[in-house]
Amino acid sequence: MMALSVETILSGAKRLPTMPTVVMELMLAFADDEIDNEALAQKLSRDQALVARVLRVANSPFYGLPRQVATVQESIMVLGLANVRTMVTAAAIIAQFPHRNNADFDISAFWQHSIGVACCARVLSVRAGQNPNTAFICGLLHDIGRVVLASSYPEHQALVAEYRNREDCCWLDAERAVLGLDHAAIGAALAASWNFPEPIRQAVAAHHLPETSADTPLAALTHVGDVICHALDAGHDPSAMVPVLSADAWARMRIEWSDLKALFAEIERMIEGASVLVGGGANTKAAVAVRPTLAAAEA
Amino acid sequence: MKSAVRVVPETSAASPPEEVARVDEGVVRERVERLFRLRGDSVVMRLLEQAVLEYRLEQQR
Repeated sequence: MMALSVETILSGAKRLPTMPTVVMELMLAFADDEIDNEALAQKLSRDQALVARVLRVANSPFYGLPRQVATVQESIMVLGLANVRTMVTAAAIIAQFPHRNNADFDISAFWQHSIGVACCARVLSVRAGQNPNTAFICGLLHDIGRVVLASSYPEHQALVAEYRNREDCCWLDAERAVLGLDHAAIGAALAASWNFPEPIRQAVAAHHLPETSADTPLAALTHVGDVICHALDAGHDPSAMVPVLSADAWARMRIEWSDLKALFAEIERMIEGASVLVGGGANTKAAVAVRPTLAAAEA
Repeated sequence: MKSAVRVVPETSAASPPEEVARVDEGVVRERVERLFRLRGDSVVMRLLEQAVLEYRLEQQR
């Protein structure tokens, strides 16, 4: 079997998605508080598939709106600019990747976990003083190297899965043992090739090694979000395990242990609502409950 | 999203409530312990495990 390197994966994989220009513009606009509703609506209107997704999310039980919204401008007015921007970006990123399962990789479970980490990162970001929208996207993308490996090199992925099952170790260790590289390196290279903003690249690259990135708080945030998402067992995977939490990254979250159970509840409500991004159902009660949480995160 | 620990316990329909609760708690503890099998000697992992266990047990009650 052909040996893999990050360069091989990036240059050889024919099915790597290209990120639409509008997604890049939306991500860059996270730090731009000056962008107006009209400008965002115009950006979105260039991609009718994206417009359809915006309206689907806006009209989903996640937001529990009393009436349907019919245009992007209307959804921004009702939901707020930051909410729409984040959800559109997330939906657009998910849509760029193949939605085919293979025997060793469940793409729906993958995105459910990614959304779980995104929600954890978003909730934690408020305590850690980080931008909640960027934190959400970091969580969403943190394992993107895994989906690239599985979709472009399924035989290699199968060997990794076999090793992991045999050794009962985490994916990262299995990838390093079998391939000599890991999904964080693949994801970081991919994020660089897409010209994602630097903090997002660093979060993808260092979410398993937050100690090595003292100047990249989003890597620590994503790491803790990943650990908490596994700890909450969101995927119901019998073979799941919680990666070891970095004490240094945890300390940077400024969270009291006594507050953690309340955060767990907040995170689980948000995950339930955000599952609509991958076609999962959100019950109305949870969707209504999450709305103040999102509003708080925006504040 | 359903909690992973809401597993149907192996008790008969005639089981008294105390026995059902005891089995439920056992299922929760077992699941959380399995999830945290990589914790080693890490203090933060033990604290996190304890927080998750208490959270799940409170949900059960």
